[in-house]
Amino acid sequence: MRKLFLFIIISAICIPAISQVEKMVNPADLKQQTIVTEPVTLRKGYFRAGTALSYFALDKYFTNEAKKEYYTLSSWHADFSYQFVLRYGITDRLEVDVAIPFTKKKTEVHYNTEFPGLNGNMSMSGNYKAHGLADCDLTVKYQILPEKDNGVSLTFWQWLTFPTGEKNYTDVKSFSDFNLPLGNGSFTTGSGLNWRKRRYPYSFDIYASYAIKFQGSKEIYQDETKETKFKDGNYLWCGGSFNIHLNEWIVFANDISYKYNQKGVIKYAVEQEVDPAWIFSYSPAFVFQVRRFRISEVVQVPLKGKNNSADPLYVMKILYTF
Amino acid sequence: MKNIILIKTIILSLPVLILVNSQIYSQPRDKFTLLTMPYNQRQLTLYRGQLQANAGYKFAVRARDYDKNGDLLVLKDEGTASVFHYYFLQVRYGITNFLELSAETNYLKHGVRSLSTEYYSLTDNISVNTLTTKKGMGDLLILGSARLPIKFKWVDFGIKGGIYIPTSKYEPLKPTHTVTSVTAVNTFTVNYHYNNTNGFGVPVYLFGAAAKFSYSKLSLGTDFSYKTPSKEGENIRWNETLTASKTFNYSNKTYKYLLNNTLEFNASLHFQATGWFNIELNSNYYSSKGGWTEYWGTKYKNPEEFLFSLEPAFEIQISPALRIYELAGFPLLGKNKDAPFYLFMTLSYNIFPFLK
Repeated sequence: MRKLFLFIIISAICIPAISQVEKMVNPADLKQQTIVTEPVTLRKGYFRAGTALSYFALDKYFTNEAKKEYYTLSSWHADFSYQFVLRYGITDRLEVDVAIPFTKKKTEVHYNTEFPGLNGNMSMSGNYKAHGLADCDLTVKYQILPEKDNGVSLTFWQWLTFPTGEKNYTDVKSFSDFNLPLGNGSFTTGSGLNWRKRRYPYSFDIYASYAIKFQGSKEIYQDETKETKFKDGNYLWCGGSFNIHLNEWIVFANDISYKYNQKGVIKYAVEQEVDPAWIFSYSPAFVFQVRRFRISEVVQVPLKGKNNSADPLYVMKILYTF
Repeated sequence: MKNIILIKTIILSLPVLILVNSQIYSQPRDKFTLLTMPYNQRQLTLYRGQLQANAGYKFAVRARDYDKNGDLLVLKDEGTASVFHYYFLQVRYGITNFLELSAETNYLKHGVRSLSTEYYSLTDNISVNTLTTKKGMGDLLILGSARLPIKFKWVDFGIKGGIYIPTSKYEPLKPTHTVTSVTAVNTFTVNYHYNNTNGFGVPVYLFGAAAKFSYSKLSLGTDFSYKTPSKEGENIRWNETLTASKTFNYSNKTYKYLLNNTLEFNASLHFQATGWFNIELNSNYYSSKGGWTEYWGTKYKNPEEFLFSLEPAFEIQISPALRIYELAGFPLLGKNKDAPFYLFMTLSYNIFPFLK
């Protein structure tokens, strides 16, 4: 009886050990996985670095009545941003990301003034620029439920935005000659959850996050000489994505998101409220995985919104996994 | 003299004839081979039974403009730069290996701001903003293309002809002007908003030709197309009157016009880096003239336009059915023409629906 018991115990230990087959995966191949095939967080010791270039031109906006309108004044504003992205896998489930953005902004306003009675005219123009470091982000991601054979994972992430960008108007010489601010001037922190299901050649994500904006102070307009306290509205951001492999190394990614900004406040002697805003966007993207390089082309298209910009945002990311 | 010309013609034609004759037509290949044919081995028209659907999106930043003297104006400096969004849809079908039919249309969205002006007098303070939008479907182009009835190996030549059927709305919609910021009877802002559409209004003929030469991984492609209107057109022009209650009354008047004839010429050099990746440098020449527009009963000649652009591009064969084509446009020279920088991405879906 004792022998039989020992035999069963030893067999119970040995059978799972024998049934485990060593997974023959080359670590180099793991670094070439696509956004569909790789886990949500980087594997332990993996380091991914690169840059994200984005372009945005101000042309249309969503009104307070959620109607899309063109800006009518003869003005032009464009933002070009290049962001350095660094990602590191501390463990197979824990990842740290740092984003360091540099922004180049330019606003040009030009208008004529006619004086019919005096038979004269005057031309006015403003050329406002800014170039430099904007607000940096630090993000920590943790897989609460790590991805297993069923392809399901649940990831928590927490981020903090540092007001590293210049928050005030600088070099103000006149109402038509000054430099624009590059940063928001306040800290932001937020938490989110991402549920993911992978079923090759597809992957599906559902995510939701909430961000808290802290109080800050800055010169709200260029003609102000002292800083005013303000607090932007907290925001909720949620959405889902569907990614599909078009071939072994090209993924067509689709993301739909909704962002709701709560009411903000500017603390002048008489407090001024900033209206709530929301935006519903669709972002199609092609993601090319060329060996360890990952090249993404994304267009974020605002579909519906209120008190928000209605212009597409173009992003190109080039990342390399070390 | 005639004999000398004849001999010269024969001698000059010989290389082309030899190239054409050496491309003996062979048995049809399987559809996988045809669908994955790299650019340098692909003929000008589709293969028999091949159906191709192309969907494209072009984003352009209209930040520069060439004036009537060919001088570059930076519209950004005047605050009148703008962006436009152009969507493109095309369906092509190969009837035989030498004959193809296609249909295409487009959708355009574009808003142009004019220079804002303020009018000050002892009694009035009026600001005026003007926005002209162009939005809507374009006309439907039905096109037939034919190529030399030979198997393409080194050289190919084709012609095409078609017509833009005026299926889209071409009359401008009623303006939607507004008056805002009314702080006093004579202090306010007028926002003029004109709503134009995207159609030609008359049938337009298109003729063209294309040629392609391939040697190893290099190819040279060239094509031209000429568009000419079939007849004069008639359209309406809106007038507005601002009332005392700060609203607008609108009326319209008809006028006649004749569209310009346009000529477009492309010459491109391609390099087939691998079977699935082709890079290209295209040069595009556009010229337009010959039309007129009627103002107050008098015909005024339309400005002559031309634009020369360089267009680096690439094509990736994603799968047998899917190809992606991306192009960036950089205008270099021009006259009387907007000179936008643009990015054009096209996704191409190919199948042989009736071939097992």
